[in-house]
Amino acid sequence: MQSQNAAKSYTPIDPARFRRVEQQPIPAGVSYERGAFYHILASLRQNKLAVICLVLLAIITIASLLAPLSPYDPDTYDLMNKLAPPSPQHLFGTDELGRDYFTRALYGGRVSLAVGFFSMLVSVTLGTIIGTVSGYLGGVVDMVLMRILDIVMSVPTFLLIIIINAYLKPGLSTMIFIIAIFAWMSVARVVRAETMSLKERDFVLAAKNLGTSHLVILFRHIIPNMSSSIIVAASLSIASAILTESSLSFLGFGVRLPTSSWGSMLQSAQGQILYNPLLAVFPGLLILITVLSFNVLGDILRNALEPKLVK
Amino acid sequence: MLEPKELSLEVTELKKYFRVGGGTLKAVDGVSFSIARGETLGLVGESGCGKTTCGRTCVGLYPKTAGQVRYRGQDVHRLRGSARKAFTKQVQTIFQDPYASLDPRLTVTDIIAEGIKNHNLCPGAKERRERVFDLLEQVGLNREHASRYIHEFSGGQRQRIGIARALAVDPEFIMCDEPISALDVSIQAQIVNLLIRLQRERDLTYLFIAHDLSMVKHISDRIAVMYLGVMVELTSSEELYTHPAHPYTKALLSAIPIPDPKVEERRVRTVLEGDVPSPINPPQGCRFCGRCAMATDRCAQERPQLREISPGHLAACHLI
Repeated sequence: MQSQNAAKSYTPIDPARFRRVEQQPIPAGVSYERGAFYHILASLRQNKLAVICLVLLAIITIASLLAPLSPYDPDTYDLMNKLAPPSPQHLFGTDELGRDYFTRALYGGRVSLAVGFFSMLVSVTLGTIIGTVSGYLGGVVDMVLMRILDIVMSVPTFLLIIIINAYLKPGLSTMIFIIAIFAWMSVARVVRAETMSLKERDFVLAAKNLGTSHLVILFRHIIPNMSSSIIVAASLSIASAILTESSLSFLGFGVRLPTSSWGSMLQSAQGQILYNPLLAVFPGLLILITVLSFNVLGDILRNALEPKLVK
Repeated sequence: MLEPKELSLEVTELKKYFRVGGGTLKAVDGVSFSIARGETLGLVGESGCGKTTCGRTCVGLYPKTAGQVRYRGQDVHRLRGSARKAFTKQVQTIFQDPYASLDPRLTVTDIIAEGIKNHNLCPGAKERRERVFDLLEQVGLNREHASRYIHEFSGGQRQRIGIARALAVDPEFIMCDEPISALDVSIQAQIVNLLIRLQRERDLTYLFIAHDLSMVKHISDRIAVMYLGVMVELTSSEELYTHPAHPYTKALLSAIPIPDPKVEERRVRTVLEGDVPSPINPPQGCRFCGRCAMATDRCAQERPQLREISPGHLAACHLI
């Protein structure tokens, strides 16, 4: 028990063999700061599949944005040239009314991508708010919110969307809204689970101990720490929103003619499927590539961002 | 039992139960102690005996089940609004795990400045940054560290950042929750010496939780020994090491290795038999009775109360 009696005399250090080195101050310019965005880019660059997906999405997005540069008007009929096969003048050929199919596909891409992106924004925001509130407060609030979520999830979404669509003024914003209010649940679930685990972490306890308010804890400590899950959920959410929009338009409940979207193009191609199957192939491929890219990207991001803290 | 000094923290019959699947986990079951201003009370006990829960309940991080905790006369668990905020400025915590207690998404400056911002201690952004630099230097880091993220630091450096964060609001009382248990032995001594120096400079009061008796002796004025949610002995650290009264304390002390091979050879160890009983269904009588070599029938039936066996020395055992 007497730890004092361990104090023995030590042989002094031989100055011939040892040299005193002063601590070198770190030069002020050196910095190791790198944000989360840098890590996302770095991990994406290492994955070939991710690069391919990103390039495909970039091509489709930029081409859709630049659609007005096309020499053709997407809605002008040219009955003399109807159902033309692909040619240098008409890259994707023409449809049954002689409209340039490539131009229509680009304009359709604008609608599909816009619906996908904006309904993702709405549903991710809604899901994050509901998920964090539910997970952070717990108790009765959590129970009520989660039962509401369960109810919304067990409703046959598609039927309800069609019914709501019949009552609301048709248009792009209506569609974004309708898709979003049936898509926030998966985000809310992920966010709630993350919030519940994060709020028990010591650094949140430390923030409470410093007198930080609950709102600041949510926005400063909890939401930034689950940003990677939110990014993944957002990527997957775009994909499913594009798919929902296409299905709705295919069934005739989406954007109204003559505005095109990939789904409505598929629908009109139905009638010509025996004469010109390519009319169905082009919009179908575009939907496939876009949705697949977002899904693959989501999976890659999930894997890349998971071990973020051990790096 | 105390000199007429100003009391900082007064804990009376504090209980903290957790509801778990199979019943009630009695993590802290009737603990009473008090800490005078400027004093360090060491709280020791093996893993899972309720030290951390007790500490966290004392500083209001957990709601209590029963009993009372008073900090300078105010009931800690009744504080609301501005009184609660003032309390968070006076009472701070240094956490056990320096990896989990710092937000990985924030820079060191943001972490340390959080309390300064909450309590408006520095008006401008520039003064705040200067204060952060100053704090970093006080805990033995330098200002170049301020803009980095937590994952760039070692465990010892992180613990220093945790200490700087606690010091940032200029507290009077710090609950040190095993601040050294996650660190190497060489770093442990540095951190303990840093804490002792800060206490001297700033007249701090510590509740120092640890499971390492030799370290606790170095820093504490008095030591409380906990076993399975209850306090079994409480006395000055000198007295505890020279005249341990409770059989559990004796066993704990006999486990400390002596850094001298000749003395170490002759050390007699009291090895405890069996495991700690589950705190979900603790024994009815003395909680230590199942593992105590001297247990009698009375020990199994009746729970011993903490009583004064000599001036300033409290123990809970029927046999003393």
